[in-house]
Amino acid sequence: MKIIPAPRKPGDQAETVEIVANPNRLARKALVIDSDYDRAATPAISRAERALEQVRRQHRAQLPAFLDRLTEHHAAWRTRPQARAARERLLHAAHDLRGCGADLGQPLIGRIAGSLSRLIGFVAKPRAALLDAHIAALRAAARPEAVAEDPVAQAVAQELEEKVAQAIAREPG
Amino acid sequence: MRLEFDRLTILVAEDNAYMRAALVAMLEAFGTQAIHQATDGETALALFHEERPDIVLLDWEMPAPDGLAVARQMRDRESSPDPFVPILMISAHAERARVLAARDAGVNDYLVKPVTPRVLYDKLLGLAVDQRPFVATPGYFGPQRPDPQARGAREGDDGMSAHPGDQA
Repeated sequence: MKIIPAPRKPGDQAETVEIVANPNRLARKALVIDSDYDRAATPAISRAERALEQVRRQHRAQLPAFLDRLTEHHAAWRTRPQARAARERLLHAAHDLRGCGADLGQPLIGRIAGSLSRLIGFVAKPRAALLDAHIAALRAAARPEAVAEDPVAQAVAQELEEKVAQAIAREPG
Repeated sequence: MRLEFDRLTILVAEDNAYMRAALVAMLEAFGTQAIHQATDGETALALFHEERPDIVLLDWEMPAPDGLAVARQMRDRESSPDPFVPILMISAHAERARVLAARDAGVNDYLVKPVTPRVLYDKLLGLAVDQRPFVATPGYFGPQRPDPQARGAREGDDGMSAHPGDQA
């Protein structure tokens, strides 16, 4: 079916819009309409929670390796700040930590890595000192004695986030 | 209402080893055995063409092409083997602009990490229940997006069933 909606305001070009029925192959193949949501969902979700916990245990031990890789990428970028590939690698490592830190029981690491990934992702020329501060905070947060709920740790994370927000606000456009 | 997960073929495109293992473990626990895994956009597209998955779980940040570009190619009616395939974008990015960009690339829904089993289960079920027609315009092919200027449209209504932070 094709419809041509009126322009939204004078001067706009009318745009041809084609509406296409969704064949919904997924529903036809595997969707069962009955009242058994809980009967099917509850055991499946319980199994998935157990499986996920096993994966977490296996990967929790790899967090230090994630941090080491981040530190290496940071060092590489500091020596060649114009190198786009080095910046991408650091962004990617920070993004990875952001994505899995909380899931692996390290919410503080995830939070600081999130701040770092925003700094690299949204600020064209981030200050080296602010980058260094993030890396140092991440290494501190990874220490065995570190406690994510510690008020000082939370304040440090918040301070970093605020500095990054200010840096992003100063970006043109 | 339920999905027979054992009948599904699912493509998981995620470069982070932990997240990929977590997604695969959850899908296997739901009952899916046919799970194909890609660690970059190029492999994801190759597997999409070869395996014709019923669902695609797509990470945004992947070695090129990224998830956004992959979604656009999967929706390309000229070249895609299944431009209607349900796509669930998974990302650590919770910013609204990101969600809207994913929507405009044609993804069906958006899920912010960390991913919990219940939210994943419900999102996958939601993909099957999603009856929205598809819309083709010169710059878009994908599920119908609400017109924000339409009568009754709510502020922030972007056609996704959940926004970042909504997950359990």
